[in-house]
Amino acid sequence: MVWWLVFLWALLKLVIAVGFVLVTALILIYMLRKVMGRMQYRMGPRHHGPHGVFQTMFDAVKLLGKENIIPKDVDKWPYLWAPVIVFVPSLTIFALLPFAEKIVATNIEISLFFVFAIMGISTISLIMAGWGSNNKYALLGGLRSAAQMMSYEIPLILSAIGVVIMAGSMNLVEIVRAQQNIYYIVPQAVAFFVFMTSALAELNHTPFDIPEAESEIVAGFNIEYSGFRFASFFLAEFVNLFIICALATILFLGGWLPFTNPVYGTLFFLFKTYILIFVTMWIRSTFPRFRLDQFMNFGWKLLLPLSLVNIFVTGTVVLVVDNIRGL
Amino acid sequence: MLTEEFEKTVEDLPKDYMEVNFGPHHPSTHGVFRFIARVDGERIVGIDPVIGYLHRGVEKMAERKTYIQFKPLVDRLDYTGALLNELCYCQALEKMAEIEVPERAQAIRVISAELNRICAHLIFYGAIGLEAGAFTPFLFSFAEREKALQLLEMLAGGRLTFNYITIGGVRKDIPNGFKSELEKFLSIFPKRLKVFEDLFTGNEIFKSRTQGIGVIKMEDAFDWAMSGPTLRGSGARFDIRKAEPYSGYEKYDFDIPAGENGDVYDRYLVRMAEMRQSLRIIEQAAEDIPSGDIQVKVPKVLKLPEGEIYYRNEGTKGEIGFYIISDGGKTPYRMKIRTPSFSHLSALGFVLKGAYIADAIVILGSFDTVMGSVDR
Amino acid sequence: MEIIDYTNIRGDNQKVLGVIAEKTKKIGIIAKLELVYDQINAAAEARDIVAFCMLLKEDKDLSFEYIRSITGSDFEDRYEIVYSLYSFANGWSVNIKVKINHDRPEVDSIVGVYKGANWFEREIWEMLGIDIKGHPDLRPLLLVGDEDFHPLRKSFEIKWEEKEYIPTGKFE
Repeated sequence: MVWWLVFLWALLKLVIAVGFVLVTALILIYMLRKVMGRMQYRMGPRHHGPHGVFQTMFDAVKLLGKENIIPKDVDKWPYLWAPVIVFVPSLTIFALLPFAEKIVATNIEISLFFVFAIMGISTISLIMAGWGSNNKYALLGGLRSAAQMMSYEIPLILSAIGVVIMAGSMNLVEIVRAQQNIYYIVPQAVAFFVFMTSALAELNHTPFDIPEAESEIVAGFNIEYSGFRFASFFLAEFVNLFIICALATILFLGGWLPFTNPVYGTLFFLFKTYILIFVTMWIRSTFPRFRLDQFMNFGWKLLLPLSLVNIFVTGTVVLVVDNIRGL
Repeated sequence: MLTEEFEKTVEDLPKDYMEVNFGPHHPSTHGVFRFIARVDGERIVGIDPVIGYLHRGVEKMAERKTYIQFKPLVDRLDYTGALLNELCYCQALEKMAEIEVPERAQAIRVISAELNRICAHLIFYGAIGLEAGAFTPFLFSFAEREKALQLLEMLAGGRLTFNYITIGGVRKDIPNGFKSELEKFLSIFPKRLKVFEDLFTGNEIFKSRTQGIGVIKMEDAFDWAMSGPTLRGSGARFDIRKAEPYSGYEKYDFDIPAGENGDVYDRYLVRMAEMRQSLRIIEQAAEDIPSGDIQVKVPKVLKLPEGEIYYRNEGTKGEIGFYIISDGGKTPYRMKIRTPSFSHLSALGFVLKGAYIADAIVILGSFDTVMGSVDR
Repeated sequence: MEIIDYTNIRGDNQKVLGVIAEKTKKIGIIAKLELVYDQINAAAEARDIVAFCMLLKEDKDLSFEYIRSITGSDFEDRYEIVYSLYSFANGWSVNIKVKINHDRPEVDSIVGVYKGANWFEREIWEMLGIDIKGHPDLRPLLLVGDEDFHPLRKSFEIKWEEKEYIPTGKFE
């Protein structure tokens, strides 16, 4: 009987995680519309519910009720499976994120490595969407996104290695515990800058939102999707936003420290994550976007050498400090 | 080492260019404009523009209407700066019929025309932000434009098309309270302009999107009949308001900005500087408006003497010209309207050779075309 | 590039009348010049138009770099095309008028002299039916292209026709 209970307990944890994911996506969409609206000298949603809090829910319900249109000559399998696959990495990573000392769905030894490995799968779904849509605009958008995400995965991962060297482990809980003296944003400021910039590029956020450049190729790979398939791309983008900001909080801002109590720890962790999300939205409503070749230059010629230099310097300093202590 | 034969066969290979259609429904082509771009990867090899979606046959309609009946149609040519079209038309008729416009009407004409110029340049500012990718400046500039449009509504009675400047003067006098509202606007607007400039002028991303893009040399600009801010961005400091002054512009003191490099960034800077110069003109004109009538008595059905005239004005986008052939009757025999966006758009294929697709949209935005005046 | 200041150039069109008259006589172009509404009106032959424009553009004293517009109109016994040119360096303006017969409407293209004349000439061809010889790309510009009339001719009357629209496609 024991295996049956263990299975049920694991299933319950995963259901809570999935529910949390979807609610977070709704909250983030509402937050984006309000924050961006206020920065643009106007109010966001106001009518449904007090201050418009139910707006996103009603939008999701409306999108669910739309007609199921599949254009004529699409490539059936990539077109239909792309909106599904774009959600898979997000949900998987959620199972690994620790919110407090004991609150984590599954805790494996090398969770940081696993997170980065799975994050790359979302690129494939964009390419599938671009190809399967049988549309030149979508193809252009899909190829641009493939180039962009490939270029920016490498600085993203390399900037996290500095943190791993300093913490001595790839386990996310261990990394947070190792920040008890000082948050890693202070010694690893360069890595933080590289991480956040590459994260914006991974998420297709302005100033890097070439794949969905609305004024040029009219929504890029999204162009032939309508109804709930469009909603799933949209939601996946916001879930990824939350995940990356949560990762940044864990790696650089100390996770749930200094509270070890699970309730206070989770709340403080969420508070730090939402500050980072707010900064992202602030950047989104201010800057224009780069051209494709310009931010390839930016990624390969600036961020990649910066992150390599960071690893080198961190490793040297850690080695020297260890030897001095050993003496 | 390639032999001659091999080189010849390489040249004969069919090149596979992709044809991308930026259709009439597009968020970034200003109005209904379609162009088919032949693209090699991300670089444009050639374009084929298609216009005529907004063609209303205005020149043919002019031959059946009297001069005063035709005047509201002139508003709808360049609908972002409608008062300047009317100004050109009415002044062409006044020159041919030798009608003197009273000084009060001239001052009011200048104030309303320069306010309209500011409105049109604010649309340009919002649109180039949209094309570069930032959504916020669009909303900021439309909020400012709202205040200028309220001023114009108080004065002229309309927001987009006015029918206010008439042959021999203007139609209505300045209402009470207009001067105080105008002073409020003139004190707030320069600070808002500074905020707008801070958003874009020093921004690294905007500069790397617009500097060095779409360079037009001065000889090419003359050849392709460009005028207005597009020509001034390429280095020719020329303005019809200074070269052939009309409607009292010789009394006011203003500078003409010009750009050195001829790229998109310079055209943007020229238009931002022009807004400040327009504010200067409005201040000087509103200081003391001479008293008198606002309109000269003109016969109800105006008959022009026989002859032809080409008259031109500085519109918001460039040179607006009317070539009127009159045979002495009530209706014009031929009315040809020369608009700046028509010539600018014809040069698009020349400017876009070898540009990226992303740049093509920004360059089209910097020409600041409005399809009502291309298609007439 | 440097900025060239054209702000204070005031052209005296009276002075340039004599200069243009003698230069055209030197090449052999017949042109009658007169000063109307402060602008020079020149009447030339249809076959001389390219040479005339080339002279006005290339000559160092004249330097008419800018074509303002090309107007075509339909009179009872002839067509008339007016080329409006302007000189930035000197501030002079010229309108060259060319008369064309009704039965053989054709004129040479000046696209080789001014590249900006491209769309003006296309519009004249489309609206008046005057054949522009040597134009690289004579296609309908503003109209759809499947009409058989030329709208700006005086023989074309605007009629109001009520037509029923029957969609031609099949809906699946």
